[in-house]
Amino acid sequence: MKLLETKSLSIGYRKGKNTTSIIQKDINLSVEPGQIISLMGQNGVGKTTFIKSICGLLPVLDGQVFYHGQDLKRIRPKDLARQISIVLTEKPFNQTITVLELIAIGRHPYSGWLGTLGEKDKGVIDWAISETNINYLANKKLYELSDGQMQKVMIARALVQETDLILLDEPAAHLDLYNKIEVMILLRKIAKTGKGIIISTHDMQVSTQLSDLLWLFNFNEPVTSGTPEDLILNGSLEKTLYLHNHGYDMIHGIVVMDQHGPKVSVIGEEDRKFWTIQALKRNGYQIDQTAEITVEASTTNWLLKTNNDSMVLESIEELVKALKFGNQNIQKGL
Amino acid sequence: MINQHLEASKKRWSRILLILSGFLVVSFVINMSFGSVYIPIPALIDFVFSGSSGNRVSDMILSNFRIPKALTAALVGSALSVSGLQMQTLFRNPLAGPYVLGISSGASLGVAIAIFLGFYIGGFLELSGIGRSWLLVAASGLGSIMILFVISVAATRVKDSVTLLIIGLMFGAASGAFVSILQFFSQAENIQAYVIWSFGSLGSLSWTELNVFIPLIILGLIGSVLLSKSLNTLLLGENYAVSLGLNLKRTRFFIILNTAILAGVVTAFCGPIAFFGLALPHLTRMLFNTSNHLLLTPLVIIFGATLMLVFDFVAQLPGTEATLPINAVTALFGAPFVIYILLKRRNLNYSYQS
Amino acid sequence: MKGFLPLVIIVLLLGCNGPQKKTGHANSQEKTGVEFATKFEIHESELKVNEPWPGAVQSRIYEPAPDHTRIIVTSTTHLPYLEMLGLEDYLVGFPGTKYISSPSFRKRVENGQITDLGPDGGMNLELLISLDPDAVFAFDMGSESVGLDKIEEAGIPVIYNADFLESSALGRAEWIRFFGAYFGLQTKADSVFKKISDRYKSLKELASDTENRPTILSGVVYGDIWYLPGGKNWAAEFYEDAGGNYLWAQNSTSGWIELSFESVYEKAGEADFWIGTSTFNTKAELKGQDARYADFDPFNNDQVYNYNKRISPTGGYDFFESGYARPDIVLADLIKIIHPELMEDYETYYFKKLP
Repeated sequence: MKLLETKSLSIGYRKGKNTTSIIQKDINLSVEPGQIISLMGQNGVGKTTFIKSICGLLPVLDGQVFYHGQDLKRIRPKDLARQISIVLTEKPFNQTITVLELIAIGRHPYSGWLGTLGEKDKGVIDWAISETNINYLANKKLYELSDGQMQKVMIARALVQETDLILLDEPAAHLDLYNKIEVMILLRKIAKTGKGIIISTHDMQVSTQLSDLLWLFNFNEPVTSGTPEDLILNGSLEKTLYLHNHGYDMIHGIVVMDQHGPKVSVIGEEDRKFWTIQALKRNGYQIDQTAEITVEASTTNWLLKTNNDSMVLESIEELVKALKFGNQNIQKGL
Repeated sequence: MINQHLEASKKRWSRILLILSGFLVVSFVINMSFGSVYIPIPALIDFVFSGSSGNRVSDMILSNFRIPKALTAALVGSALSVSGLQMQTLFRNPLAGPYVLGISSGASLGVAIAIFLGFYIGGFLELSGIGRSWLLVAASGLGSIMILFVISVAATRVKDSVTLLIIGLMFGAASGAFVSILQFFSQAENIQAYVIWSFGSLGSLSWTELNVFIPLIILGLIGSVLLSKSLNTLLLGENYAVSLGLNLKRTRFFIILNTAILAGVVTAFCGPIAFFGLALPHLTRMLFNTSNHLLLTPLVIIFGATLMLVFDFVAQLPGTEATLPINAVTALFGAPFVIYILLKRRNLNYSYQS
Repeated sequence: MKGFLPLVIIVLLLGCNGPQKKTGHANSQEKTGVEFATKFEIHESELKVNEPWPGAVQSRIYEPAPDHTRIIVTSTTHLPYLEMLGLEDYLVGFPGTKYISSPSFRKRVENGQITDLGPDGGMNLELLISLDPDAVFAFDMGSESVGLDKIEEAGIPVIYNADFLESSALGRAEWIRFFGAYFGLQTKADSVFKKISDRYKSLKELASDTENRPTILSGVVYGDIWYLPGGKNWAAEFYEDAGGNYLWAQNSTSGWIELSFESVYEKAGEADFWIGTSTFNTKAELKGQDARYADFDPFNNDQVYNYNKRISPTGGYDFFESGYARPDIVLADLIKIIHPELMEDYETYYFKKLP
């Protein structure tokens, strides 16, 4: 059974009583259990509108959205809250509640009239907190949290909603690498339990390394869906992100600088060779295995050879200097 | 592990609520014991336990003046504080209070019309046998209901709450202007009667009025407890609240209705009592360091009642025959207190980080 | 000050002054016998108002002007002086004519001989000036001066009346002599006032012999505060002169005192009479306003009186219009209430028992 399915969905905004501004139309997509899906596209192409439309924050202009085969329009807000949970970029406006209180609020669709928590509620909260490894934060106030901690807390809050589908808007924004990796691993772990995860993101690592599927949103074109790898190889991603001839090597995932300098050939140990090439490219050298100038990267040092000269360098920094300023300077330096 | 946390916090907050309730009882008794007329402690004790202090005048004063006034003060304190809390959370605005939607403006307009046209309406009431105190209550109530009606219609149409806030402000300005015009064409005596009404008063309710006042306020207070859970979801922001299954428009309507009942009834019976409803929620949040409405609502209800009893006690200027207007006392003693706590905490954004 | 409860505006203004300052009068030997009033003096060729507005330090000097025949007054309390002097036709304009009680002035209003100058608070100055009055008799309780200054700038003399600042009933009534002197009718004014003061004195004499002095309560609650005449207020003087025992007679305030309901109840719950209930015209209205009024003995013994016997069709209280000029009638009414045995055939003029 599909967790979510859209049929000929049109999204956009109502302007007046009878006029609408449609941003995307005829969207036909679906989410299977265990899938992580990234939405990508330029700013303004309708990613956020899509997210808000499928979780009921914005009205569906045309077409249908199904949760477990049930039409969104027929699902009561309280029941929808048991189908889909969200983690937005906005922080909770009140920062003086504790982490535990925040997560308990996530049980709103289940808890009693006065917010009383039953044994089951407590069990779910306990599970979500240990799943996200935030036991040590339970009694902290929100304003005491770092961005990374906040993101995990908000994910835990979404988890206690016990929904099959979790929607995240830019979960990696503002996070340092350490926290980003932690969040990515956490999301993968959650997906493994059979939940579907939809992420709106601009982050290449999140989209290409974490996601099972990409949904690419383009202006005036239908939404494309496919695995990240397929979409990279067939050029769709490059097109969606307007990166064609824009200095980005989509296949290798690196930024390409202006390379019109002398040709250099690099050989040697794999890791060292990779980063040596990175440094040379950044400095404008062209990598060509037939070049006269050669660099041999060993595990301890770099051997630079030209027609009539050769020298041994201790770091990539020295290597680049030697190439730039010529032999004399290097010799002086030595 | 969560159970431990939950148990610990449950224990802690139960204790705090219990102690605070103790303070409420004490301040009720103190408020009742002191007034312009001296009643000796033994007589008071006799009155409490046997229903009579042995002196007809003292009995009359205690049962017809002191107890009604203390009850009024406590309920007014609770009602204004809790409706201020609701408005602050709903509008995510620390400057919001019970009157932010223009409830008191509507009430003032109603009362101004009643007083300034009182000569005609008074005659009608006399014929119908209704007391004149009900004239002001009815006028003020009608004014509030009118505003409530307009705001509720707006609430179901307008998307964001800030727009509602602005509509409320505009109503306040418009009815203020209308009152000024009425004043301009009125006799000095009527202006005076209006000014006195606008001072607010806690001691003018007798049992006849309390029989209506108490049930209405209690109804509103129960409503506010029931709304606590929904208010908590609003702490996360409106998008999160909706994603948690909250019907935003309906909840907003109920919160506004509840505030209108509480603030409207208080204004109808006691006049517009300013400042208290704005400041007390802040004070409670700062003193008890929580924003969780499941705790905050009962805290605010009990603490609001306690503090209003204390302020009313001060307003009585015990030992003298004169009294101060309650409005002056709440702001005079409340404002420095709030400033003190703010400076001591050095944490101005304690609750409203954007 | 037309209208009924001479409430807090006056309370605040009078209350703040404390004992009113007496300005020194340098040429007192020329003064022609003012007996009771302290706020004005009559000299050979000039009239002097000592405290033209509350707290004023400088006095104002006016020359009598018998040729002034088109005048404007701003308070209903000025009207009886004109009426008793037979000068009704001098009045050409008045702010808020609907509050006038006097039948002869009412008739002139209806005939269009007196122009309404608009509401009390905001007199229409252009209209006033267009009437081309010779003089404006005005009162200034502290906030009226801006408009009055404008009238003076327009070249129309403004005669400040401080009758409302007098602390004795006869002093206030004596202001008829001020009007008389201004319009050159001094003899007539003197004889009218003499009749009034003689009658007042003899009534006071009559009541002073009584052995029993019933206790008296006065005023009503507004908000949380019961407003009562202070012990030195002219109302208190009336109660004492009528042979009553005003319960706050020992109080030293000349204005009004503000008390809590319970302290009034403690002191006056068992009073014999309750006189002066502001705008309340029936006991049912009183009880409707605050059920606790019904706990007072005078309420239950049917001894509540108010000055509402004469109300004009438009709602003006004649007591507040002509009562100040006729203290003899007020005193007679009060004696009739407090000691009916002394005045068996008399019918009250201003006061009425609340039904």
